Amino acid sequence: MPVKFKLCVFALGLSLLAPTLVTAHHSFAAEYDRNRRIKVTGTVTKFDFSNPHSWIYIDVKGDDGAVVSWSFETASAGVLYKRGLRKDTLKPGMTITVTGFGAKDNSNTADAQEVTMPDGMVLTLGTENNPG
Amino acid sequence: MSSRRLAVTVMLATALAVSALSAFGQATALGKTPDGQPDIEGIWQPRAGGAAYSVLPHAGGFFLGGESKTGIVEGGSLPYQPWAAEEVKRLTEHMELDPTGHCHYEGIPHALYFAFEIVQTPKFIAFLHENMHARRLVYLDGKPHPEGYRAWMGDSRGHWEGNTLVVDVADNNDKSVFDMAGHFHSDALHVVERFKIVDKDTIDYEATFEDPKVFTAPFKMKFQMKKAAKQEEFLESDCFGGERDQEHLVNGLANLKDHYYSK
Amino acid sequence: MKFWFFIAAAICIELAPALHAQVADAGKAPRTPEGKPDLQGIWETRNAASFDVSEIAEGHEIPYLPAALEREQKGPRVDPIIHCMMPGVPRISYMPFPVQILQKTGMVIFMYEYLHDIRMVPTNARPHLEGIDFALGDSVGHWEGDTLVVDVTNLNEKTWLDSARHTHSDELHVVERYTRVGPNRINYEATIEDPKTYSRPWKISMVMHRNTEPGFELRDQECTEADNGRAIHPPYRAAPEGDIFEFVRPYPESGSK
Repeated sequence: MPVKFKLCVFALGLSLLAPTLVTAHHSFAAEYDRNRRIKVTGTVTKFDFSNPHSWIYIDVKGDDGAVVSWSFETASAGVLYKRGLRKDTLKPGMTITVTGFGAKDNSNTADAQEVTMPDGMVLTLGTENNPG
Repeated sequence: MSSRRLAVTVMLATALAVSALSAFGQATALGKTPDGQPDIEGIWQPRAGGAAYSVLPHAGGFFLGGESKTGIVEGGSLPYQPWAAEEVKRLTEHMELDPTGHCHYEGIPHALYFAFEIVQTPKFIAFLHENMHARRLVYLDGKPHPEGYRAWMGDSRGHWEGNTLVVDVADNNDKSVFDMAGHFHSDALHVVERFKIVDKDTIDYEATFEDPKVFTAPFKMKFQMKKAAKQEEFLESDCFGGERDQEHLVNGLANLKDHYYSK
Repeated sequence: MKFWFFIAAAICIELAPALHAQVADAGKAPRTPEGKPDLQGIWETRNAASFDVSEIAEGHEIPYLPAALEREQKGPRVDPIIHCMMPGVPRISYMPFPVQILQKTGMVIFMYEYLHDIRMVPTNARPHLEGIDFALGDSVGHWEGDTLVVDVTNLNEKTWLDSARHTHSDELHVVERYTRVGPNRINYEATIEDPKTYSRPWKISMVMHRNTEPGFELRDQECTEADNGRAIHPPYRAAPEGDIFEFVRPYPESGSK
């Protein structure tokens, strides 16, 4: 089944990142591991749209049927707002795919890079140079 | 025409031309505030090229922004005393100690690496920063720095020299840092900033730093600031100490205790 | 000669109304060049509202919905400002720290000493932002006669109204009214409504006094973890039940810890 990929304003928004009006929260570099690439698909349980970081919580069902909770950290609500996201952009119950860099402490925590929405739209929330 | 009449005609023509030109110039020239200061109100976007990661030349890195071939320090190096240079190396290995990761103010000049808004009054010039809702007031009344006071953003007293705003920043604490790469200073830091207004959309920023406890000599940092194309309202940018990040900082807690609680 | 006389006369006539106005307004609230009431200056509150907001509430009571009161009593028990969160609205207005008000055409700027908070209030009655909440909300102002009316929405549910644990939901809506009634006094009144928490809108009122100490300036007020209680419950992950960390930690519980 072909998936529609729409040209999103979110990708454009990212190109306006440099020079950004606001900073990326400085501790990201100390927390996340560039060699630990994560990609999970699951159901949104909560989208915390806030400062200094927004968090996406998803439940991921493993091959063994067990459900594991993942937490994805991303940019502040202010930064995401300027790129078109709102507090209800990710709703509990939505199935999304999230990619990112995992936390150095090996927990089920990662920094969110891209979110693929149920309709196929891809939100770019961060890049390797800039977490958002 | 007699030579006298010619001279008068030429003078009049020149006067007219000059006044016409200056009238045109006024439309795009720097204005004045009601009390006669050069008008620099509005939102400014600095071009500090990755100084938030390091004020020195650096390659881009993982979550550290892009590269900067020159950095913002004149001469490309900081004159640290030998013990301080070792401390910088240690801090670079412990980025979890970066105070901005713990929601502290960025201090001077760090707060100027990102967009800020200037509001002018006859008694002070307010710098309002979106990041961390930081602010400082540059007082113009010639009063001295308060004594026995230390602050993350220091204490700023300024005056105009023609089209250059000169700001003297003292009373800095020893906790704010120049960048994430471990470039620190002591509470003896004294900064003289010069905001030179090139035109109504451009400021050349140059600041001279001295801190005899940590450096062997004064040094300068320079970068340009441009009026932001979009003069948009700032959004609240809150940061609070109980931030979730702390859980995931490897070695974070142990280092935090030594670094912060013992100071 | 007559020419210069008329010029001088014209200038005097031009200046006279302004001089007259200055004399006549002594005792009334001052005005900005645009003719708006001038709220500028450094102001302080001298009441106990930051401990318990019912001190300044009409009737000294808060009309809770019973279900909301129950939720509140079962919720977090540690004041969010202990962890350096912003105090929210209206609490920021009665924190026991000075506020410096700046006024420009189309904008009133509140610079609080507490946590170096800033509220920038446009006075053009622009629409509120949608789909984003803030600790201090989204403030939009307009003038009603001599009163600055500030409409605050988009408030997140994480703040308290005081340190006595009076809470609210994300449907909190506050309308503040600032009226300068003389050189040294602003009358402040706010209407507070939250259909998830209160059975009806209720009001608070207080006086803001101008700080007249010569040379008084706001200072830096910063919050650090050591100052504000993080040290009281190390290690971080074992925050006691009822602590605000309960709802700021990753939710639900992450996998491996």
